Amino acid sequence: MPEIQPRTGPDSRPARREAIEAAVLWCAALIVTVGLSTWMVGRIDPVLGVPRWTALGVFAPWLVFFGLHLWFCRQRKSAGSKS
Amino acid sequence: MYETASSVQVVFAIYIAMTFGLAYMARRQAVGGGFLKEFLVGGRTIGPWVLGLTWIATSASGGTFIGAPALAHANGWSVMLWISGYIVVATTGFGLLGRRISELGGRTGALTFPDLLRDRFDCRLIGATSGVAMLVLHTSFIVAQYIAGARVLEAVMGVPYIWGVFCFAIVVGLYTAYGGFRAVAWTDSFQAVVMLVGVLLTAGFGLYKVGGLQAVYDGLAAQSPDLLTPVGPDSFLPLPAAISFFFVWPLATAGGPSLITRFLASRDTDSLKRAALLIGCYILLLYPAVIFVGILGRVLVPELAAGDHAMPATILAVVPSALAGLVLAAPMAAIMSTISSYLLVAAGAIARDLYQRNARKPIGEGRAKAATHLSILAVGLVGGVFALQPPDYLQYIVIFSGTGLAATFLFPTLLAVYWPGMNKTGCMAGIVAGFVSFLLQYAAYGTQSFLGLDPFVWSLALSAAGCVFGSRAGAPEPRAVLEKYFAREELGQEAT
Repeated sequence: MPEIQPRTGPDSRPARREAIEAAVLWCAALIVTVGLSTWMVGRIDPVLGVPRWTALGVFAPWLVFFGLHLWFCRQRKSAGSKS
Repeated sequence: MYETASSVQVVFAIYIAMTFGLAYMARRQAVGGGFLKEFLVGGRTIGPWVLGLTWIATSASGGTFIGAPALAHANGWSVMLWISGYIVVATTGFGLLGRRISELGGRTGALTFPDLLRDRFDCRLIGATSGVAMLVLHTSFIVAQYIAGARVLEAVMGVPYIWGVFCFAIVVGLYTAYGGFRAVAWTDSFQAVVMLVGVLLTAGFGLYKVGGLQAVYDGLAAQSPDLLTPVGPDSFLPLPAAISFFFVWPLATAGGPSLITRFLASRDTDSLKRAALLIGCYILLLYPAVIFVGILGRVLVPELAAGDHAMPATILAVVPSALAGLVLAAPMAAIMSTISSYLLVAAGAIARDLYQRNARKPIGEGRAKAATHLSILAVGLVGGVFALQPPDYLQYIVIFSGTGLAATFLFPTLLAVYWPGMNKTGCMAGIVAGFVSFLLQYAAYGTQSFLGLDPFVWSLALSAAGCVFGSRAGAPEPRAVLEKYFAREELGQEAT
């Protein structure tokens, strides 16, 4: 099987734009997750059998950022197709 | 040792046989194009599914399957916050470097991570230095995996710890040396599926046995309310530590050379986005379930012979014996897939970066092959010897070596591939600042450095500063070299 080379030139800008988006998502996730969990530090009453701070401070952001990851991957497709 | 049915041993044996079978099949698919290219990056023909699964199987190690559940067993729900950085691991892991490294690998012919840095700056010293740093830190990671594997064999089958280490070294070393990257990627893919199925089955059976999430909550509350707080018992996770681990998981994964090597093996950049999508789904299912199994273990098996037995003891307590072998293969899969990947990268560092690329005469195919196989043997042996004295919680070795690698390489790599102004002085300064400051902080302060943050956070900052100030102090790279890496309009007035 012959090697398939990437169909790209040396331009780093599309990849750099994706890297910046990933870094922004990481920053946002850090602030939201650690911020919410710290703010709710004493809220250990159960929500569906899970401590409230875990449900709202970790699981809810996880689902939101999973959605953003899906967007990120779709966005990668359109960026990749032109390079 | 916990009570084990003989079917467990049979399933274990079948699992090992299937792993070897896959390695054999993978080797038959070799595409040629030179031994090292096939052995180190699978001929650069790896598609999205295998790419995604080998990436996650390498990332999810014995630390994930043995160390993290052990911490959850000891510290309850606070470990969910400890691991919450995994929310964005797929995004940062593929987004920060994936596309760029894949493009550069295809265009420059780099086979290893140090190859990339060395060629970008046309500097042997950078290749050799990064090869040595990778060798040291990867070997310590391999030690952690041997410990994890031997712990599983000890807990499940009563195999003495030392023999467990020996078994792991032999089994993984053999199929890695036999099939190279392609075999590792194929077996990783199989192992990734086993890992996910095993953890989800354990969580499901455990939940059923305990009687639901509310019963788990009540069980923990009865033992200690601290197990329900974000800080955990004995202030396990104060705020600086929670912040630190949000740096550790996403950035250590993004900057790990063994994971960056996966991008060099990618067939094309389009494969990356599909792999990233797959990994996002996989992580969402795997990591909360792994921590939950440790928490379940605290309710079901509160007393353990060793902290790291939490996962196998919970599996044996909740999964029917007919399925226990299959499920116990999950931690084995995580450990084996990580050892094989790290062995390959460490062996590549010796054979390619320290030997072949520094030899005065060109190295023939036969000698390259012999050097690679001998390197695998040597790294496996050294790792085995260090694993003979295990610590109580192996997760600490995993964090040390994983973060050490990223502290050393993340910023030098990011700036090397995205910033034309980065030069060899900056790269060396970044590598040295990251590596040395990381070791010094660990030696002086342990896991809590200034302001209670992990040494990794400060080392990243120092490495970034080293790259920038070093680049400002040193001479710019020749334009002819830069034009291989950047478009002309990007270069502008930056380099002449």
